[in-house]
Amino acid sequence: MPVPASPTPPDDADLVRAYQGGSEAAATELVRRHGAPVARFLVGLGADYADIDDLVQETFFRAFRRIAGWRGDAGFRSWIFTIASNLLKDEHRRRKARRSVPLEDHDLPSRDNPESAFALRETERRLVAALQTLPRLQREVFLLRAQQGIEYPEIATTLGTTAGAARVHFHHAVKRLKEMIA
Amino acid sequence: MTSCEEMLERMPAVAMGDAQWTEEEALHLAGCASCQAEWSLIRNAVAVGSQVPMLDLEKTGAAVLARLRAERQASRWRRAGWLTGLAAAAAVALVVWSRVSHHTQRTVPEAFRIPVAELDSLDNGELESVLQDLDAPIGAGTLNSTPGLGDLDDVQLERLLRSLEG
Repeated sequence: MPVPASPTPPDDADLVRAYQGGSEAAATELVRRHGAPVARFLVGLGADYADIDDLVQETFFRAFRRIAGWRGDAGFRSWIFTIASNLLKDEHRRRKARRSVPLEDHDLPSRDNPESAFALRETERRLVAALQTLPRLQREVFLLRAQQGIEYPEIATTLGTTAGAARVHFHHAVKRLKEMIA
Repeated sequence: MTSCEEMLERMPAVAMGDAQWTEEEALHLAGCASCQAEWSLIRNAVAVGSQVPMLDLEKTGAAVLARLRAERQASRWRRAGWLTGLAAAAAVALVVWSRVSHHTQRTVPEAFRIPVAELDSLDNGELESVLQDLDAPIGAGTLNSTPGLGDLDDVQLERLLRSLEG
C-alpha cells in the first residue's frame, strides 16, 4: 500500500496506517521525521553520544514491532519517546556493572569554534548530570516539555498521569535544576 | 501583569522558535533574575543533543526495515518448522500404528481361524467330531486322514499287492 498522496503531507497517523498496510516507505518517513528528536531526547536522558545511532535504530525497531500498541490517543512522537525511555532504562540496567565513559572523538571540541563548542558541551554535560538526579517522571516531563515543546495534556497521556500533575512535575523540575546548576 | 509562572509556561515555545516574547514579557524578563535563570535553563534544555553527530536517518530506516523483515522471515521459518515436525510425527505415528495393526493380524494362529459361518450349518454330531479333531494331536485327526495299512482287511491288502506288482 503506497503512502497516501495528498496536497498536505500525511500526518503520523496516516503514515502508521500506511505502514500497517505494508508500506515500507511510510516507515522510512516516520524515521526521517522523528529520528533527530528521539536522538536529542535520548541524550537528555543520559545516553552516550557513541550509542545514539544504535539506540535510535532499536527504538524504531521496537516501535514498529508493536505498532498496533499505538492507539493514537497520544502523539506518535510522544509514544516513541516512551519506547526510547524504556529502552534506555533497560540499557542502563544491563550496563550498570561495567559502566565507563570513554573519551570519544565527538566529545572533543569542534575545530570550527572549539571554545564555543566546548562550552556548549560542558553546559549540556552539567544539565544532563543534574537531570539524572531527578525522579524519572520529573525528568521525562521536563524533557518532553522544555526540550520537545509538548503540551501538558499529551505529556499526561504519554506518561499515564494528569495534565495538572505534569505541570507540577515540570515546575518542580525547573526549581530543582535551577538550584543545582546555578 | 505577567507572572513568573506564566513566563515559565511560555519559555519552551519561545526557546524553540515557535513563539516570540511580547513586549510586556520581554520587560519582565529583563528585570527578573529568577526568570532569567529559568530562561537560561530552558534554552540549554532545548540545545541538549544538538551536538549529536548528524544521523543518517535513511540508513537507520533501512536497517530497521531489514531487521523487521528478517524477524518476520525467522518467525515464518519457526512456524514452518513446527508444522514440519508435526507432520513428521504424524507420519511416524501412522507407520508405527499400521505395523502394529498388521503384526497383530498376522500373529493370530491358524488353528484359531475357525470358519464360523460353516460351523453354524453343522449338526451336533458333526460339531462333536470337529471338537475331537481340534483336541487330537496334530496329524492324528480323524477328518481327512489317510487310513494306515493296519486298517485294511486281508482282501484289501491282497488287492493292493496285486496293483503294486502290476
